[in-house]
Amino acid sequence: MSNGFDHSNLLRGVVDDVLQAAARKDDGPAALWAAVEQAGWHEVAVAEAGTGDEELVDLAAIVQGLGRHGVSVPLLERHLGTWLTRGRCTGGGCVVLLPRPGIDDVEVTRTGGSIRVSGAVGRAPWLPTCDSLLLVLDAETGTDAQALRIEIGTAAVEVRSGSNLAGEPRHSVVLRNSPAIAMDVDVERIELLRCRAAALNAAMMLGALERVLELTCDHATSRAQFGKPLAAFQMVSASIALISAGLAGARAAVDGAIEANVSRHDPVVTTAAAKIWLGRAATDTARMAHQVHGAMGLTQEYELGRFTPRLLAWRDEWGTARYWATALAKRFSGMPSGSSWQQLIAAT
Amino acid sequence: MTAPSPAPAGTDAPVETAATLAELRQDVRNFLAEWRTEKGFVPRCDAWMRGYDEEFSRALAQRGWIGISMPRSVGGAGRSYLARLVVTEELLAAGAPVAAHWIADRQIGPAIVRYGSPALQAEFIPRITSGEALFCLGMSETEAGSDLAAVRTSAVRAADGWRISGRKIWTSHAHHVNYAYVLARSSTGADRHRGLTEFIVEMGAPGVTVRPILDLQGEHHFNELLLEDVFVPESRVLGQVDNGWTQVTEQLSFERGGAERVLSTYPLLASVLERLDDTATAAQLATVGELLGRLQVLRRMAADVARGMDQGRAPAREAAALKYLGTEFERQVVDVARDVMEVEAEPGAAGLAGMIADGILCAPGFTIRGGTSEMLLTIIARAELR
Repeated sequence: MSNGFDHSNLLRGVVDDVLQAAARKDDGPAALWAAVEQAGWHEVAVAEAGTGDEELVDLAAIVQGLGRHGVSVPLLERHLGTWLTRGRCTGGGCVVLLPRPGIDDVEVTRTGGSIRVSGAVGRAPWLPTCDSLLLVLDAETGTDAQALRIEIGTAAVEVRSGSNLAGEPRHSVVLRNSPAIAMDVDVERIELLRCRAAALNAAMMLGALERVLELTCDHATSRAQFGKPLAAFQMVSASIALISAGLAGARAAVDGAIEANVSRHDPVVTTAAAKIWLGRAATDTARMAHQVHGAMGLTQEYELGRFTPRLLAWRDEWGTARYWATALAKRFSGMPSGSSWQQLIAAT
Repeated sequence: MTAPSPAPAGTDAPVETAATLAELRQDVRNFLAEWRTEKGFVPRCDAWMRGYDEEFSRALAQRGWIGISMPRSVGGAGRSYLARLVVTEELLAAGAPVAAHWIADRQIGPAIVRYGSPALQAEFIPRITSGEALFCLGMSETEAGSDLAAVRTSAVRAADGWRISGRKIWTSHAHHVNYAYVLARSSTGADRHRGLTEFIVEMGAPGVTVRPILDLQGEHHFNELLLEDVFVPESRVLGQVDNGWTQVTEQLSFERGGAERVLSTYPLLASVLERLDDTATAAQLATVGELLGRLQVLRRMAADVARGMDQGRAPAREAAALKYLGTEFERQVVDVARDVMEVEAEPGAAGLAGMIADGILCAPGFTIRGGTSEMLLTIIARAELR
């Protein structure tokens, strides 16, 4: 549809303009977030829009832009909290904390009217700037689906600083019988949360892949050795072709995942596919891009260094590729031949 | 070279929706279920190359599933490329014997629609869509594989037509079909991309000889196709004389974006899934799950290519990326089946052991036929580094 194509091009241009302007100012994370809010991005795909969720396509394009500019803002995390609570939770306090299956351990006790939570949850984003967090539990954590609001500034909550490979804040939260308040949220949204987060995460990785390919082509055509550009060497141009092919698949993967999260029709299958594909593409592209760039790419100063650590960090967030692959395999294992095919088709 | 555009589906085509496509998909499944019950076929990998069954092809033709995306005005069903994708996906996933009509349906029919004279279209399209006109590809030669423009088969003008001489190789099913598409050199000059012409040759014509070439499994689908002064009437020139290069590269770009570049080994993957049970280890599950995820993405890429063609574009780059990635996936299915299943390959055995053996020996061809992976990556690199 030409309308859809023009709209997405327009949005891409706007996102690039906003982020380039912010990069030129270089005023730090708070200013960057202010630019996000000024552009209204924190409100995209939050309001109820009929039975569908078409604005999610726009949000995916926006976070893809964040990836393409190598920028760290907690837009994805904040969006999840605002969306989950249908806009009732806004601002710093609605960052979603989603325990990692098989890694994080959380126990909820209810006595009378009070709720207490104990356990440890790792890789929590952006916490010290928030006064509370939204702990979301679901079948993956072995509990009923629920969203619990927990105040951070109490003795019962310990936040240990940490960061991911790209230096983005990822803290650990230790809860010792912490008081919590149950938030009234749709169980359906809790059940959709992991897929929504993972699909947006895939979109961010897609953006980073785009920029890495650009940088790699630029480098290979401008850097010369032995009297010719690096790109003239087949072993180098082969890597570029492989990055490009992986990127082509990544586009299709993200399109599929976002579509399924918009329609809410069996999003697990295409979201898992996207996390699997993007995880592999991130790993391979980071490796090949560094090879082509040589020593210069190993510095923090050179632009590649803004992107490859992010790719390598983001690939494991909101579920590792292995987690999603295992979920897919369990879904289809033991099925007779015809059924597995039919199920695969039905999910798209 | 400007990108060619595909012939659009017939303007009198019914409107295609998700519902009409779903209905078509179910129709194909119903047909396959009936065929399995009445005739039985053993699903196999690479069935579009190795599963030759003229009766099956005619049965598909009766339902309008050969030439489904060719315009109604020339005898096709006038549906979309997405419709063709739906049909071919179902047939390939089932490992059904589609080899007899595959070349005619995939590329020769569309080439005749695009470039053939009205007389040639009238002569061939109805017989292609009925499953009666079956084609082999006289393209490659011993000295012209990836470098197709290096073909030496010559076409010399004769009274009312041409005389063609040369030797084609890797001509699958030449020993079965009634027609050969032949790419020959019709004039020599400074630019070797000029002076090529496409012909339709009758397999029964004097001077045509077929010699079998057995493959690694001892199966016979490859052949040498010898042409000794074979007369081809002027009416059987496809398109314009000396315009063969433009025409054939268009064929190749469509050949690459189809479901057969992804699903050749799906029957094996399906068997693996069936066998995975509660005793599967975490590592086995993760490995198989990765394949499933990649399959979904590749299916989406194929659908995007079909959509592009339905919109009148010729997504040559996307098709090249799809063929490269898809054939790598096809090969990975075989490797994973060996690793995960702990079943030893046994040629000719029933079930998984036989299918793994089949897959192992079919696999080398995936990344060679229809454009080697090396050529595809070269095309992609050139596009990126322009």
